[in-house]
Amino acid sequence: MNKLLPFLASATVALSACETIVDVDVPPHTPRLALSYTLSNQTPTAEYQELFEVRDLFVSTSQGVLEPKEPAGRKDATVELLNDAGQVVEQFRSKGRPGFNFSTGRPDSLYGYYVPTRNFVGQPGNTYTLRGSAPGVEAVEATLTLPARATIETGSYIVSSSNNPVGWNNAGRLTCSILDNAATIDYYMVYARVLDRNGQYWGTVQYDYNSPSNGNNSDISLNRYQLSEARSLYNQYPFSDVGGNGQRLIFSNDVYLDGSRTTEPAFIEVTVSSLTPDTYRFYQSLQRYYDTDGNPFAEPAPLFTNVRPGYGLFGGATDVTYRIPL
Amino acid sequence: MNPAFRAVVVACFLLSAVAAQAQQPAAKITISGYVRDAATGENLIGVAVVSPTTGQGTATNTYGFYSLTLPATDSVRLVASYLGYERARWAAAVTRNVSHDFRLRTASNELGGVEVVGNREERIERSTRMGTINVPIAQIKSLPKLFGETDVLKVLQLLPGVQSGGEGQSGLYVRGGSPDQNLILLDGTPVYNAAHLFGFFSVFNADALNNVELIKGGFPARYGGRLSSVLDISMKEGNMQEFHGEGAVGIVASKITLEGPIKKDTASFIISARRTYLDILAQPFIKAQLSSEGSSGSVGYFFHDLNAKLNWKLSNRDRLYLSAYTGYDKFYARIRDQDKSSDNYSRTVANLGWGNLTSGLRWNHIVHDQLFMNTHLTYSKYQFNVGAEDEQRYTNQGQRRTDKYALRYLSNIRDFSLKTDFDYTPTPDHYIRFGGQYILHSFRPGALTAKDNTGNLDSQLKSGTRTMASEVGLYAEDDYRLTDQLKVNGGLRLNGFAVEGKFYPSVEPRVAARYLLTEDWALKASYARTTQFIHLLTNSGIGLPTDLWVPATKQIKPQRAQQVSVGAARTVRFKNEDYEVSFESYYKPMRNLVEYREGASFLGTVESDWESKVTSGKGWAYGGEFFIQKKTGRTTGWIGYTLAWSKRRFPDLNQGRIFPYKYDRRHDISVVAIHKFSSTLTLSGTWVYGTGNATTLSQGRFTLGEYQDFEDYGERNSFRMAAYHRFDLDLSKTKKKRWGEIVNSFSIYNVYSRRNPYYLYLGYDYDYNGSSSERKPVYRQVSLFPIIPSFSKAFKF
Repeated sequence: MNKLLPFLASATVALSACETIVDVDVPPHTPRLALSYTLSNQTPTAEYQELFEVRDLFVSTSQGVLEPKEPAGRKDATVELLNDAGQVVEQFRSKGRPGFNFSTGRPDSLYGYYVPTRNFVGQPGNTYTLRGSAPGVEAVEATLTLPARATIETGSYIVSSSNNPVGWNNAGRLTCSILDNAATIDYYMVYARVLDRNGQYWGTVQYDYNSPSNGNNSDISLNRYQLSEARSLYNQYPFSDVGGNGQRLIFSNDVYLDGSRTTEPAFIEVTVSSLTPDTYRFYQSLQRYYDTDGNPFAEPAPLFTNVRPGYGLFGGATDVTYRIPL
Repeated sequence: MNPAFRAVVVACFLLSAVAAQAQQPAAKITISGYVRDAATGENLIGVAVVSPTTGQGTATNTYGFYSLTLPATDSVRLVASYLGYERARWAAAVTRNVSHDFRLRTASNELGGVEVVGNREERIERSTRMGTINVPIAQIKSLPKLFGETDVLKVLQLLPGVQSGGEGQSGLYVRGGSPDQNLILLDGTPVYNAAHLFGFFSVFNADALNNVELIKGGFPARYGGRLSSVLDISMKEGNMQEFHGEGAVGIVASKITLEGPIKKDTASFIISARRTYLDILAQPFIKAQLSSEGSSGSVGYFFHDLNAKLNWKLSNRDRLYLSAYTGYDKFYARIRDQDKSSDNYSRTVANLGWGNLTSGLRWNHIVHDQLFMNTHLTYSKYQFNVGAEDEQRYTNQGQRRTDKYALRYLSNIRDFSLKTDFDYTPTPDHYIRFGGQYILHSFRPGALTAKDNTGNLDSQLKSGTRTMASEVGLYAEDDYRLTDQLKVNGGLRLNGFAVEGKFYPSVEPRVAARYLLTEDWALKASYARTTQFIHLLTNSGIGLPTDLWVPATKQIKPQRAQQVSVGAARTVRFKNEDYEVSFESYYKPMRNLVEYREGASFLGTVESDWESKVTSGKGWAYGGEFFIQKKTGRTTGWIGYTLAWSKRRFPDLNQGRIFPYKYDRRHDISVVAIHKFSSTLTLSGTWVYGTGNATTLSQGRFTLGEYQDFEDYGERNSFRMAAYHRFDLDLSKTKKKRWGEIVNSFSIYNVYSRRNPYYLYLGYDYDYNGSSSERKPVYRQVSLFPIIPSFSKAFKF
């Protein structure tokens, strides 16, 4: 429906609309560092980095809106994490990834991603500062305090008895109960994955967009709590304890499991992340940005940033896991 | 019964009882009555009724009634004069109060031209009123048309201080305010959405209208509930003498109006209807296109309007009116695969509909020769519906599956109102108005969302709650001539709004003054405080029908504004023609304005949770307006120029920094000219110019990962689109027939085909170099209407 109305309006005016390219007096742009990184209380192993890809450090430089080249990451940035005593507790090195060069039309290495060198683990309650710098641009900085762990009371998974909507192996209802801290305003995101009996990664837990209990139409979601996917910025659904502060927050989604066909799934591992306020604001603004992107009649929603004087997010997430046997 | 409502009713009856007992001094007599069109019996509003002997005079009110109290003499002489009509004179030997009705005849054309005799009720420098413009219906119908349709609101946009939101839009942005801040009254009943087709046409059928008045500032105390303007539109009453009709056929719509007596000189009716037929004309082409794609169905859009009014003269002192309006827009799409038996089949139904329903029962009663009463019972409803159904049949892993879902979204606002107004003219130096109003509002901003289960049609409804609110208003004002030079309109309006256990009072002083420096020059000043208890939440810049009306609540306060205006006015005589010249400047601070938070929209607004999606802030508007108008002679028209600023500041928007209002238009120029070559040939033209609308554009780009590119939008509304200007022409030729007349009109919209900006967006352009191409970002401007000629044929009998 988000797309229907702009479509209706556009269809109406399409009868005699015409487009022209116009010169707009855009003020000169000062390139700034754009940086995205989320610190957590988990050890940043390779498995963790792959699972929580959205939290990986990425650095780029902004550019003017009319520059023809596509924005790209940069591999020459220096990024450090400092504790509240000012000591450097983490440093990062550039690591390219397989990607695609649209200019040449060939596979190429994609730069901008960085990996930690010290595998530092953040401590809830502690304050950290992230500093980034690169040649030719002003250095940037952001600070956060890692929140306390959430308290997961219970979790359950009930297999659906009806036919699976899209023919996957297993579908059911995932429920998780979080006991919220009445003394603080808290922000959460919930992830889930499937493990085998050896505790190894088996597969994904997918939010069932076709389920009427979840809100059939993705444009009008009546469900306040929705499962997030840790690999893509598109599917981050944070929620706060507003309206339920100090109470039991019940998270319940219809999901389906998808994974290996050679081994059996044994557990659903639910991860509840407590977020810093800035992380919550960033992901909220991200949803608003996507909702209005491409709609010429809506007021654009700017992306929140706590990285000054640049762009992006220095996020903080304190994770706690809960395993539900299958 | 609501205590506030009870108080209003009791107060009104007490006032009327006291006033009815008023005894005038023995040395004075009162002449009262109505002024009507001699041919049609229509009320004439604002007619000057003057005693040439004493120089004292008055003007007819909205219902054509006048009352003039003069020193008792052996005889009385009165002259009634009105634009476009011959003066009427009356003399009689009277020694006591008497009633006399004037019947004015349309000015004749004996001079071979179209010399119009007579002046309007008050020269512009005489009136205390500021920011008030009355546009004759005949002038509205003479101006160039878009797609052959006369549009009342688009004509108002040609006035200084009033601007449109964009190309083809009917919304009125008055002195830096938003469209929801305009009180639009049709025969005293509020109309909440005055636009068809996303704002390209207004709901007002000019053939059914008698009078259009716009008040931009210096609001008299009898008006309340909105911050920026009052648009008071009166319908015709219906010809009490003969049956008549008129209509028109255009390329977009056709309309017809019929009026006549039910009982001569006692009761009359008027009914007016209009409908588009774009959907009917386009059906064959749409069916052919769908068929070529293996589909069938229909896609279309239409709107219709229906106005009706009954007018019944119960006695010499009582008159009853019953009026109603209904209008509806519908956009629909019904598309399905032609082969219903196929394993793969899809069907989609979508519709979007919105419309108004208003009705009013009005009783005019002459309580006393000096006291006129109007009691009005009204109902107004605005509603829109959005619906969609989808059915998909397919085969998956050998199994036949069917997915279905349906959705319905609905929102409405309804008002029930009882209003009583009194006009009291004890002496020519005082014109006192007082009265009260009670409105019961019913808001349903939430949505009804129907969800259907996959495989089985299992409707589940989740309905938004309905919010009830009461609004009460009491007012008193006096148009008082202190001296020959100084005239003051002073008034006080008391408003109250009760919702969800919360009561919002409002005390609104209103004052306007006029000081005559010379016979021709007047200085004017006014002050008004206003409160608006309802808000319009809008998510877009094109006035979609999905904009939501919501009330002030415990969390969301009413909007409030003050407006100060100063100005000068003069009637200049040049080559035996009168030109009304005025200059006004204004300053209007506003607070508790409401906007959606960034990225929020009406979708998913259920259970009255809209309050969490909006934010409040302040606004300022100030500027100056210059206006010169010629109302008589072969060539009439006006030139208007506005220099204005309009700003906003919301703590939650633009990081709390001040930003220009989207419709902050620095310069606005309108030139309107209507030339009558003869009584049967008229040429009219308009030229408009306006600074481009403010808009938010991206200023930079960055990426936060692969396929994760974002734009940096910078300051809100920090860019200006290109200036808007357009020239329109209309040529109308009238052919007289035995049964009436036919008017053929040829209009050209946007004569020099200016590509005016509708909106801007960031797109791409491609440079092709042999086998390769380079893509570069560019700003693209979408324009709507190039040069559009149109033809319409109107008839009158």
